[in-house]
Amino acid sequence: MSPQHSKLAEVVAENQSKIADNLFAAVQPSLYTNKMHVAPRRLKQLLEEEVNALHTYLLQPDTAKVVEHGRQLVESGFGHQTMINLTVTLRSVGWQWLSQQNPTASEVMAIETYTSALMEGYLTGFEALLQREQQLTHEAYRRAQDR
Amino acid sequence: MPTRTIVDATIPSAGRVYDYLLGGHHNFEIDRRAADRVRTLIPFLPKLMRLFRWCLQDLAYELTYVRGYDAIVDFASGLPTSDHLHSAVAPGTTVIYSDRDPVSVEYGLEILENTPNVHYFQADCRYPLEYLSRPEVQSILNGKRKIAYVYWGISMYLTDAEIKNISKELYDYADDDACMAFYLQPYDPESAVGQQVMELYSKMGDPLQFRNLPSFKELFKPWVADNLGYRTMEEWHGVESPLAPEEMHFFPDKTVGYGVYLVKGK
Repeated sequence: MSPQHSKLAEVVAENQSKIADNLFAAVQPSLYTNKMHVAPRRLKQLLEEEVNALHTYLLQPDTAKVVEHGRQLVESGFGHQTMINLTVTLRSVGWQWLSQQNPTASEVMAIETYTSALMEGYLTGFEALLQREQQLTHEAYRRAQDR
Repeated sequence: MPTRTIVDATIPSAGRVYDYLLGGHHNFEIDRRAADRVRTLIPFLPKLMRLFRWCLQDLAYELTYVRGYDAIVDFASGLPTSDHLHSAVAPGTTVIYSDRDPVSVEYGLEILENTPNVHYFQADCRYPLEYLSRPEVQSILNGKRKIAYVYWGISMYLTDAEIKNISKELYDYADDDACMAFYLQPYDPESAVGQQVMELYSKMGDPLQFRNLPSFKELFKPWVADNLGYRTMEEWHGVESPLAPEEMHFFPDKTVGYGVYLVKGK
């Protein structure tokens, strides 16, 4: 586990709502590329959960948990473009804060590590989903033809 | 409604085209090519489809938590993926899905395996009475008549006579407290694009039917809209229209579609 980043976590906690608004503005254009679970009314709540997830990581930097969280975002219905917009915005938020500070090397890397792990989890989760659906489709066709 | 089985993977299927346009993976190259042709004609179609598909979770919540229905019979369900009705209903609700396509049914049964109170049968949504009278369905409903019926996203595949028949059969069968949730797809069939799209779907063996809101209301009689009325998808989701102004002229009512809870008129 990496060292915790309490200063950065504090900034995230203080600006939780503002960051969620930034994320909302960033992913709004890709709303129609998400899966059907992500109805417009749910989006804000999902993004607030994302800010919470980042905050948790900064206090307890466990990359494996972030990868797992990224996998779950596939199940939540986030599409590729939303993930790209989300991670770009999170990095941007981090850099804005870091540029005003005298950050340590690990602070510089914190959000970069977080977003990379999130994307890694998303990609592996998406691959697993494809394989699962491929198998289900194959078996459904076989059984339907056997009928 | 799609009349060809999607077991045949050598010709495009409206069901698999629909799946592809919604970002699914249960489709083949031939479907993707057909979908791309449809998308060239109506680029906003994937957005329109998402708007009505997003309603499913709202329907589940409204019908079970708010209105107290403990059984939902959903017609032409397609694939019961994790955004479908059963994922958002109140605990203990019985959900019965159906589809005429055998692959959807087999796939559905696999996805739903061990999901309590959720069932999936092969059935033709045009003949609800025949389906509801089956012993296997009767044994699940166990005499219940306060049932919510759902026809969501299928109107464009139904003829006027079929919608009329569905309305009448369910009205006669259902209890006074029953409800039918229906998604209406208005579109201007006289537009050049409308005709091209209809021709394309006809070639796939799935001719499309479009009509305006007054025609729908006439076909639903004696069902009437409840106090929420016929809500546009934009009102339903609290979003602005995703369509560009030049795309809006395909829609005679200036909305991509309506959702409604139909009830028995007092």
